[in-house]
Order: sequence, then structure tokens, then C-alpha cells
Amino acid sequence: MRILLVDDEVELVSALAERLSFRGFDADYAASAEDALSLAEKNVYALAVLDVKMPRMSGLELREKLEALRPGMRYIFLTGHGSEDDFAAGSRAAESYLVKPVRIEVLVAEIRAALGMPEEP
Amino acid sequence: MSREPDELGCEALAFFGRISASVSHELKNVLAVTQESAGLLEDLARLAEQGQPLTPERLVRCAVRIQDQVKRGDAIVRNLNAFAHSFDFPRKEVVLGEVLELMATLCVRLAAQKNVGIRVEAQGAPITLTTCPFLFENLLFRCLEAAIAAASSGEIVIAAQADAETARVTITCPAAPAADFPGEQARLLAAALSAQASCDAGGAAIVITMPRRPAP
Repeated sequence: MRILLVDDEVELVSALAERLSFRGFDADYAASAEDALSLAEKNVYALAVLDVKMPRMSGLELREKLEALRPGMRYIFLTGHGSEDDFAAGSRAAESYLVKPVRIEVLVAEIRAALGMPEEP
Repeated sequence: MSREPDELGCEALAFFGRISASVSHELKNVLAVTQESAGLLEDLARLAEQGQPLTPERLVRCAVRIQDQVKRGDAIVRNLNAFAHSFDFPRKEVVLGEVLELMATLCVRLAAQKNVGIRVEAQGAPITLTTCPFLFENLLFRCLEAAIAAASSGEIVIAAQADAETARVTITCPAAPAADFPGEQARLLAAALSAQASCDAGGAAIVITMPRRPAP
């Protein structure tokens, strides 16, 4: 399944994409909301992992635009923010809301759950 | 006997909270990049155990990435430490350029959310003034926040000048701040510092003027 990772920390998102590819996912990444939308126009993604706070466009706003472009995508928010308001907003808008740094095993489990895949043995 | 909330104290705490939250968010990113880079090293090692080729360059790239994040984290903590020590003394002689650099650095992330850069213009001889460092930084923050809120791109430039009696900070804004600037918080802080904060006639800059030495 093809997934999209979006975070303005390019070193984070590129390493994450590579690690997820080692685990069987076809992962693309973007370091801005604008680049993410360009990728989503060209490709069909089953799920997007979005940073909440990004320059110019937040992850929540990006989610709305992606949903309009590709209805039915699943979403996981990944953020360094831990405020209760952020958690509430993120939890309403996505399948999961995870606080950085997140262990790869946890992220993989959340991705598999969001996509309806069986748990890893 | 009940005490009315101290407005200045509440404002100072709110300011401290905003800076702390921003710094903690940046540090979370540093930790996340470090974790993923270390995890990638681990993944590559495991793949090598399974016979996948592994080039030294890949290992070096990961290692350099981790070292860069340590440097980044160190700089963030140094700035936080400098900020935390701002309230060591309620009144102190400070070097104006250093305070401006600190606040510009602490506000970089806030500005980046709006695609705005912040730069402090180099001065000639250092300008000193005696003030309450924490409240002065608080006032600068409110002014920078107003400049950032009004902008959607561009660069904020901070410059300082002084004569024998007065220091002047000019914050050049990409767009004019809101009509209600300086707002309650900035007025409160300016009053506490015997300073003035206002927009210049064209609205293109916020100007803070304050005495270089407090009145006896």
C-alpha cells in the first residue's frame, strides 16, 4: 500500500520513509504541504502521516485539502505538540494522533490498524 | 482577603509559557530526527546481517545527521538557558544587540509558520541599557508577535540605535500590524519599563523607545 509522509523536518521524514520501506510499505515523503498536494495529485495514497505544525499550512488544513483531492484516505497525525486542544483536534480529524518521537513499531502498528491490515505476528 | 490577579505577572507567565512551548516543540523534532537516524543505522545493520550490501557512506550520513541534531539541540538549550536567566536580576545592564538576537532566535519558529524570516541588523558599537531583561524581552516578543501576525511572507528586520539617554528599537514589518497595536499586553509592559511602543506613521515599522537608565 502506498503511503505519504509529510513533515517540514526533511531529515526526519526521509529517514522514516526509508525505514517504512524496509518494513514493506511503499512510502513517499514531502517536506511541505504544497509538495504533498503535488504528490497526491499524481499518486493514489491509502494513508498519509502528517505533521501538525508546518510552515504556511498546518497538518489539519492539509488533511482537508487531501480529503477533497482523494476522498477516503486515512490519516495519522505526528506532532511535537502535546497540548490538550491539539490532541482533541487531531484525534477528531485522524485515525491516530502520535507525539514525537515515536517508535517505529508503534507507527507501523498504527498504520496497519488504520489500513485494516492484520497485526504483525 | 482576596488578591486581584497581577496583570503583569499573568502576562509574564503567558510569555514564559509561549517560549517554553515553542522550545519544547523544537527539541521534540531534534529528538525525533535523532531517533529515526539511529533507528535507520540499526535497520541497515540488520539488513547487512541478512546479506544486503552496506556502504560506509550511508553509515557516515546517518552519523553526521545525529551529530548535527546534537549541535542543533545544544544551540536550542543554550538559548533557552539564556532566556531562563533573564529573570536572575530584576534590573540589569544588558547589551541591546544580544537581547535582540536572543528574541529573534526564539521567535524564528513562530515566524516560519507564516513563511516570515527574522533578522537583526548588525550594529556598530554595542549599545547597553539598564532595564528588567525579562520584561524587555516580553515587550519585544509582543511586538514581534504583532509583526508576524500581520505578515504572510517576507522578512522582519530588527535594528537598534541609541543616544546618550534613549535606546530605540525599530522592527520593520513586511505588513502593517493590526490597527489595535500595541494592544493591552504591550502597553502594560511598556508602562512597566517606562518605554513606548508604537507604529511609525506609515505602519511599516514598530518602534520601541526607552530610557537607557531607569529614573532614580
